[in-house]
Amino acid sequence: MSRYLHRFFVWSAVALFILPIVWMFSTAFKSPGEIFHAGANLIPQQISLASFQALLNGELPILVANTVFIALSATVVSLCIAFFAAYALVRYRFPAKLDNLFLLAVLVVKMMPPIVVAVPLYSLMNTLGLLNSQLGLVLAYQVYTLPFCIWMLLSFIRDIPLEIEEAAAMDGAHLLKRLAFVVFPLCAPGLVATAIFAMILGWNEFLFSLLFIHTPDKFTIPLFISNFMTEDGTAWGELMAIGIVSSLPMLALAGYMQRYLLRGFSMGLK
Amino acid sequence: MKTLEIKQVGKAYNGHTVIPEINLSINDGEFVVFVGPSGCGKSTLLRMIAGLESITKGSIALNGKTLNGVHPSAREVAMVFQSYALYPHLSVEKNMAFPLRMAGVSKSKTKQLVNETAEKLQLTPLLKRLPGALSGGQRQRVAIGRAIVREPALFLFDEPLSNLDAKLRSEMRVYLKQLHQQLKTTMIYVTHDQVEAMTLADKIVVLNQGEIAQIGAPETLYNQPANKFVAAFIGSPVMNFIPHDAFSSLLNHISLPSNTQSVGLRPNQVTVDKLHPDCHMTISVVEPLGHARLYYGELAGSQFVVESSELYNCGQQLPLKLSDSTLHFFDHNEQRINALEVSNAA
Amino acid sequence: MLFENRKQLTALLLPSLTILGLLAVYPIGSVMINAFGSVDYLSKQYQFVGLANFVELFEDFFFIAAMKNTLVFTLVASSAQVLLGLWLALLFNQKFSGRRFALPIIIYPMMISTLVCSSIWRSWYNYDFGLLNSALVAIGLPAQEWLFNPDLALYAIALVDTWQWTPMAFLIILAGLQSIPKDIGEAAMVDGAKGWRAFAFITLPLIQKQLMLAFLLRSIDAFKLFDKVYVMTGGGPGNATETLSMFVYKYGFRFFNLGMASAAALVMLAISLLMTLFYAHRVMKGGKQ
Repeated sequence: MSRYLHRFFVWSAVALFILPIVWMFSTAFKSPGEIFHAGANLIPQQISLASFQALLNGELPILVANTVFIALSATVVSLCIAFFAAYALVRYRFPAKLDNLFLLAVLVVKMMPPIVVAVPLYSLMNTLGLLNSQLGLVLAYQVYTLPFCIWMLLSFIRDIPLEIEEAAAMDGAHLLKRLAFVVFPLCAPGLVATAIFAMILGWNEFLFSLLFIHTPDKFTIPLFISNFMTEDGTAWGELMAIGIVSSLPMLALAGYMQRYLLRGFSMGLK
Repeated sequence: MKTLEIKQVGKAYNGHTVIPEINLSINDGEFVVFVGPSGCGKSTLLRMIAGLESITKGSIALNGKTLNGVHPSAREVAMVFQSYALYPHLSVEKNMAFPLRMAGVSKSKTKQLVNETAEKLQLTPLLKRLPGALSGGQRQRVAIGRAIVREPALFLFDEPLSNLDAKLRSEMRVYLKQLHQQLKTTMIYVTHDQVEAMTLADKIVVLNQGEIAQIGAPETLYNQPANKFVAAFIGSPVMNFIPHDAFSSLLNHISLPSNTQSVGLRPNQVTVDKLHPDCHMTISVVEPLGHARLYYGELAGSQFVVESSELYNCGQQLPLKLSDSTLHFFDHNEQRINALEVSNAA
Repeated sequence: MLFENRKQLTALLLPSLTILGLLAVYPIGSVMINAFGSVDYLSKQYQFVGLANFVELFEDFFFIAAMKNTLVFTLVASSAQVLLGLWLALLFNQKFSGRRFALPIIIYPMMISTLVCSSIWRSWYNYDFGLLNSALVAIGLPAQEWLFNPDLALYAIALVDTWQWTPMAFLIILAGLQSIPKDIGEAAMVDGAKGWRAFAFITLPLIQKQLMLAFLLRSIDAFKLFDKVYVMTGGGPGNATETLSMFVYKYGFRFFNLGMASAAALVMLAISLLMTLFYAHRVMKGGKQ
């Protein structure tokens, strides 16, 4: 393949993949009148903040607050308990490969369609009185975030040389001190990466919020987008504006996350 | 006075025996080296002393206190690891302070002890650096510093020099020996390198397949190897072995003890003697060492090596003198036949 | 020997075991029980009915359609993503100026949420104002009812999934390509392999593992398909985009038919379990090499 043909393919591919996102930005900044104007121009003739203003005056602040709170809480809970579990799974010599069995079970939960457990979870939340509650959603999100965090942290803790921990044990550090002064600081970058990914899982989750949240004051952003689409299908400006709000944090982090994207998936593969 | 007492200690993994049974006592202030080929159990034994491996049977006692079931963090034992195992996120200073911090030593006392140790090991200019910014030899010294700073009753070294290049390794050997003379603490050192073992040890423990092949001072091991394994393991180039029958037909004026199975000769103790040779070897390969040459060939049907400063070339006949005082005799069980029996046979 | 006693191990694992037990083991057990029974919605009376739910399920026209749609979608979307991902990975495996900027951009689609993806593409698929129909009309082709044509709707959703997730396949395959030691390529060149032959006999066999991994991961994920269908078509037109997840959702939360919903959920779990076990087997085996 000639050099020019290669460059042509590369940049056309990049353009194709970025086009919908560019369109999202341009539509959000168009005036309501321009959006449905014939001839889809990608650059707005006039930058209009009307769509954002409408959102800001409406639900946006509470939506962002709800979503951040739920995603953050789910992440903190998962990260704490997954850190301990992952450490035990890496370092303890289990009899009869019980650790592999546990990991496989966690993997099955991570991979199964969440709708499988939706009906019993609904009854469970109902019994616990956690329907239409943010606490309930935080708990339900553990189905996604906990298996994810366990697998992801596993790979980071495995990277800590066993000898360093043995040295710490010889230096007089028992389990908790080792975890606090050696393991935790050494996998801090891994914890940050894992936390970001878990945050995104919670931030983007739709199914459980659809099932368990009923009143608009507790809506998350994805749930709001869904309602907005079905109720007001052609208010594209506002739809894209909320899309931008929802996407901006991730787009900003894309370069950083790209390094860690394969961690949780590839396991032995590098 | 005995520092470490190892009694009937054995180790098995999932029913697979690694160490059948070992008895060993180590005296106060000794520098003991465990040496043996890979898989001989030397590292396992060291790690059992450290508490990093469980003991399947027997007991280990340090200064009269049994260590069985005591967590590594509660033993008064310090260890230097093969990879140094420095904490990569802590500066040299904090690495060395770590064991003191764990023991709850006060901040000012810690600072004082770390500074003293750093001074002793010439680490003072490096105190603020992270391990990643140090050379191999410097990391090695920090690891040693971290071990000595809390003045443990026993030091363990697990192949600490194997990651260094040859020149630095010999420097560190001298350094370690000086350190031992200065601290006078008991040290146990594991290596697969017999040169390291010979140069460092007061007492060498040769291990083979989980059992002690011989314990002794370096010279004893060299001059009176207890068995064929030790004879072959200690000394470089490796000792030559000639089966009993072949040796008798080669040299009939030496009478061998009746139970001799093979005869061993060190390559540097065979002399090249043009005037009164006992036998000749055809040289097939010559390796110049500088101060001498190694001549490879075959003698009485066995591979044979001679180290000599005489100059011969490939293909030439090498006239050899095998003096009986340098011969080692081994019986059917590959055990040494001691001097008394040898002289009786003569 | 890093642990002092069993209690420490228990303390470390107990929180995870509790959460997973409560949120995964208990619900799955409950799905299993309900799949073989019938529960009266009002009186909550449970009656064991054996395989009756499954018999009914496999005679159910909607279930068969949902099953067929899900499998077609999974296969089409995953294959497309792996093939496109491979092509992109080959393009990006060469050095070019701007590669550092292009790489994060190409993974943007998988960074944004499925709901945002769906909202963009639903707008694009709009018959009157959508970008796609404008483009078609501009080059003289007839406008399409993207999401309202039963023959097209499922593939329209597959296209969205492909746009969103090709970057994932791309990253996995690119990692495979970059793990091929440089001297292997050089040795192949010395041995006279060039172009397509080098690709077919050297490159492709060496990234086989990553291709498999990408395909499996994308299949496992595509099989879950719910969000896009829910907000783009609701399963329609007719049942052209009905999926297994939608089926369970409708029977469980709209028709309150617990037996049927649980039986269908169990079928889904079984299929996902098979794929997961296959994945774990391949990857764990791969890890040991």
